[in-house]
Amino acid sequence: MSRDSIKKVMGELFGLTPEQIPDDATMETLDAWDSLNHMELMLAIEIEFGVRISTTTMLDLVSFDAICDFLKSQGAGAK
Amino acid sequence: MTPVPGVSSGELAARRSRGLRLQQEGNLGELPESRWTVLASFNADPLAPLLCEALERTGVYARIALGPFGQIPEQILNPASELYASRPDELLLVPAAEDLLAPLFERPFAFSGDEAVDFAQRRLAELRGWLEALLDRAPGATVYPVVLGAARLPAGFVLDPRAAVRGQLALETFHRGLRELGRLDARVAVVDFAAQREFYGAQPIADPRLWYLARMRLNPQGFADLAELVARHARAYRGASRKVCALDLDQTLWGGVLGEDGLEGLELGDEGVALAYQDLQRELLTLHDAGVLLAICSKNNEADAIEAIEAHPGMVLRREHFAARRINWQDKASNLREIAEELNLGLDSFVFLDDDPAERDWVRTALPEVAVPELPEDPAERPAFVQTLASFVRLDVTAGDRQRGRRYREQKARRSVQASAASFEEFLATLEQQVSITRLGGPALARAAQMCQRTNQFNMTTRRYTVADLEKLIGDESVEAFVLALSDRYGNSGITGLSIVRLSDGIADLDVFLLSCRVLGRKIEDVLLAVMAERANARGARFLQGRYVETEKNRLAARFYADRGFDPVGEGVFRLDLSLGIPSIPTQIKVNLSDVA
Repeated sequence: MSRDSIKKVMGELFGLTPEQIPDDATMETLDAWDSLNHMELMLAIEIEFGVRISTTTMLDLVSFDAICDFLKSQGAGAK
Repeated sequence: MTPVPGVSSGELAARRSRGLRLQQEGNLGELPESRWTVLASFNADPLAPLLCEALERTGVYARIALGPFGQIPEQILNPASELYASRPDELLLVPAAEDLLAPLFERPFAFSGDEAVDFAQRRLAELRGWLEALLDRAPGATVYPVVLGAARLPAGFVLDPRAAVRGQLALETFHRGLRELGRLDARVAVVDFAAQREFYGAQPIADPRLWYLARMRLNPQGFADLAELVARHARAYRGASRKVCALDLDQTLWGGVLGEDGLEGLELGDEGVALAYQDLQRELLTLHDAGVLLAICSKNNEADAIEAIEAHPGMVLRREHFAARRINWQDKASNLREIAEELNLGLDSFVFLDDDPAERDWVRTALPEVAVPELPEDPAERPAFVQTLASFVRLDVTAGDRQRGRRYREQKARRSVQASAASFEEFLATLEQQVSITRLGGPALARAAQMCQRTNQFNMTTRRYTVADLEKLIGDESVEAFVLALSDRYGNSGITGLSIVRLSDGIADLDVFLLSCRVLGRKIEDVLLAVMAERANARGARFLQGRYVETEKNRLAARFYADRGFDPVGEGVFRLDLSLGIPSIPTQIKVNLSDVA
């Protein structure tokens, strides 16, 4: 798992390049990230990094940093 | 019921982003437009881009409006609703059983005996009333009610399927009633997603987290499958299904290469992979019975191919099932054009099935209106693949459809059509062919001997040399032998050509000159000949001499030397005077000659 690979997944879903996603991106600050595609982002991250995200955690992972920390805590590696 | 193959997560993301782009950018392709409104009992937002994308693939640009979710009756029964304001051409109704029969899911034991089934029937009657009102108030619109199927049973821990409290009977009643809605009006086309779930649902299409957090009854996969299925219904409703399935023979209709393996060597029968080929033929026969015309478009000797079709015990399809055929050595795009003329149908009603990615690409390039699906590489996956092809969907099969195949056969007009040369040269360049020619020896000997034994069609002398014969030949100082290997952008075909030259008295004589028919028609034969001419010249020969020994199978090669400027000097013997010039290597092909000189 690298920060770049997370940005790649986000970028594909949001129609952005990884460079267009800043390190401090949150659902509030990034226009393309809304509550609807957030669900899809969570599912895409599950598939890409082989993790399971609980319903409550999904509601917490609304910033790029939070996603990185979560994946680190899971010891996740990209497939 | 129309099945849809599940899509991979990568394909899903690609469809979604393409759909979003289509919705943002508008109808750039200037396709015919259609206004869609989606009314669902749950949050179906993710469906919109996917539906837009799926419909675009059927040739329609859809402007999609999502009604507020959970308001099917409100939107339909209020004449001033957004629904009527948007004046839809097509209306997708998605009532989930979990929503319409919510009390049953919440408290299954509150219903006793037949009450659950009665309840389902009452809800159905209401729904039918809404639909009638809708048909009345939106006079031009086509309505697609979806039988969504439920993600769970009301009381699944009760195991007896007939036990009323389990809730299955009520669900079945509800779904059966939805399926009957098509009888109300010709403008109603029922989309049976529940059957899709039952028969084709390998992957989960719902996710409880999405329900709790976003009120969605489907996951992205489920929405994508639903979008695809709805688009297929819309296409079938328009009558835009394709009418002709053009088929390759070798490795498509049967396993193996007829020209090399012979009729007995074909894989086609009732065991193993041979059965997979036979099952593919059964699917094609079903399409034929439903009115799809079958045609053969194959590079083969026609007489051999017809013999195989008529005589092979494993064939399910026979000559009478094919409305037209072009079995020859010309390029397949020209052949498809001829078949279209003969059947008097547009190429836009054609689907072309071929195992060879290069042939598929050539047809896509030359005839973009032909649908060329990516036939799975594994023959075992092909029967289901053909059954689920979007191109042949139809809402129903009429008696007229069922007789179509016979009608065409009876009227079959034999016309010779001038082959038109699309830019085959350009296509060859895009193939990125790389030929490498090396001296025969080592591990290539076995393959060379195998080609001597098996190659029939492009084999100028048909000398059946064994490994031992070949070893003796290359031990002879006057003899040089070369093998040719080909790769292109699709992969490596391995060793597919052999040439053996004997030099004496200033004449380089081509004792063996053969190519596997897999690589014919791509100018590879010209490469091998040019390299042989070059080499003969370097060895001091004045003439390159070719021989043509006629057999039953190699007639396509009869004019090979004459067509390339060789002079006939005797029965089946041709000579090229190298002092007048040496043939050049076709420019589209990269040639690697590591140890030729």
